[in-house]
Amino acid sequence: MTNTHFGYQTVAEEEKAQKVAGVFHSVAAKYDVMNDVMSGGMHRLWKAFTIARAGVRPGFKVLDIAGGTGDLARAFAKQAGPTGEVWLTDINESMLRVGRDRLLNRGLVTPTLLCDAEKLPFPDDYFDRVSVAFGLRNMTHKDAALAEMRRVLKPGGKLLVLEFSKVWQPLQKPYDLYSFSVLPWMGQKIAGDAESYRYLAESIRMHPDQETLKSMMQAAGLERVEYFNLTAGVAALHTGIKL
Amino acid sequence: MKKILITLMLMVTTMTLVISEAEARRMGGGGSFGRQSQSVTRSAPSQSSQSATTAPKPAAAPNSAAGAPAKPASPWRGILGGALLGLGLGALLSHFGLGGAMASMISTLLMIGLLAFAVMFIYRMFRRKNAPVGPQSAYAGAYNKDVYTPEIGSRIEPQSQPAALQSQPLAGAGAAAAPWGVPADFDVPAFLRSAKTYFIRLQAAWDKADINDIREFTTPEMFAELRMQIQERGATPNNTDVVSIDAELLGIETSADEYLASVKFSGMMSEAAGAPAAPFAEVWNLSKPVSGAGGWSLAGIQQIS
Repeated sequence: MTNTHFGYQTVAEEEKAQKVAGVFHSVAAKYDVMNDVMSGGMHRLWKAFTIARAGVRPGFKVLDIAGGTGDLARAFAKQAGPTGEVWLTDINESMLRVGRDRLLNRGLVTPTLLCDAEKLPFPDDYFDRVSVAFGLRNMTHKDAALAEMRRVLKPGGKLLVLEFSKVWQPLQKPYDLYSFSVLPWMGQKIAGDAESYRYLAESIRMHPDQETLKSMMQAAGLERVEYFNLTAGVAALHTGIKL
Repeated sequence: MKKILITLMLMVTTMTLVISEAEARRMGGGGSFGRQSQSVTRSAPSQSSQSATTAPKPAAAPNSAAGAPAKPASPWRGILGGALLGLGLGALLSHFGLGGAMASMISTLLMIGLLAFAVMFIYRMFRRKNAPVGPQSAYAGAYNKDVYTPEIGSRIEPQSQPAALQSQPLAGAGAAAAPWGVPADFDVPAFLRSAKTYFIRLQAAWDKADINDIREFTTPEMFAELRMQIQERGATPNNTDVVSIDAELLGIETSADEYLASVKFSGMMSEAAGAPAAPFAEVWNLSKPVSGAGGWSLAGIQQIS
């Protein structure tokens, strides 16, 4: 039996997916409120930057992996227009439910799919853009997931990975204080769930830093991989192209 | 001279024609036709009063689907403002091609400001939450009174409203002796979700004059009416865009051979290319045969006024 990490704990590989699912079932309803409060609204800025870098044009086929509450898919669907195709997918049913209803309330009817990013149910060379925002961290086999994302991309298509990353060195101390003390406390007060937010903080620390993720994307076969530090490296957007 | 006059007159008449046509371009043109539900009209006073309160605040509309009273959103205004600023800046940066380093620097500055704001916001939130519980000094009590009065008032208002709404159709049902209401075991959220999907899909089909798609989701009478309207429209392009939508199941009427469900759609819609979104509200009456395998299909559109 192989082991993997769940935050700072070491768990069996089979358990990780279940544990992550538990976290998101628990926070789904308050997910957006918590995001706003915890990041001071900054996750919107990061997503806006991602959307801008994606450069979706009318008619594009876009896959939003771990789309959760549908922030990216909503913007992509508007940009891709009626001739485009935007798929909202997530492995977590609770989150996907919230996202589906939210898109519908904004007048967008897009295909919504519950699926595992490590085994994407799409043909090769299908999408113009694949995005994964704050989802890669929770995947058990990141290299397998990245390879799958590359597989479904058309040649010339772009993969965008928005994820928490390693913060700029001088800010490390206050950032640690914030994420290990303030964050679980706020999670307790607002969502009534400190554990899930402790997992969030820990999983961010366990996630590969900018350079490591870049080399992982290159190993998965993506070309011209580059990254942009957002908010001093609290988050980073990695982009790569399938050639 | 005569020629000029005639051309002028022609121009004026065509312009007025264009203007009157551009009024409502959504499916059905904003009119009432097809099957009409008596029960909807009977409870119209309460409907219109409710649509008047929901219309100016479309942002709160999607939340009210669960029946929860809309809370005053004032504390969020700051955060949303900041987020909007962020969105704008993000778009601007990428527009000018300013990549990594510059974006990172600016966003760092923004982060400091936003974090300060978030800390202030949380501090205020918990202060307010804890205030009435703990023992307070005299001046603190006075301060809390100031803060609390508007919030309490605005919470009572929306809560009392649904009660009034519920009693109204019930009274109407008694008078008409027609069963009007929602069965307890009816899956309302799923029904409304499909209803919204149909609404959006049919608007798109209406834009494209997609006769086949419209036929699939309408009763034969309704389809005939809609096809006539599309033919009258001719080749003029039609662009509707549903910006936000909320659905409410007003009630289901059961007759000998069919069910008639009245769904009130409200939200914001832009009814011409590039036009600003305007609030809309109308009732769609969906029918389904009591026996047989037929699904719900659109039987009529009803305006509430």
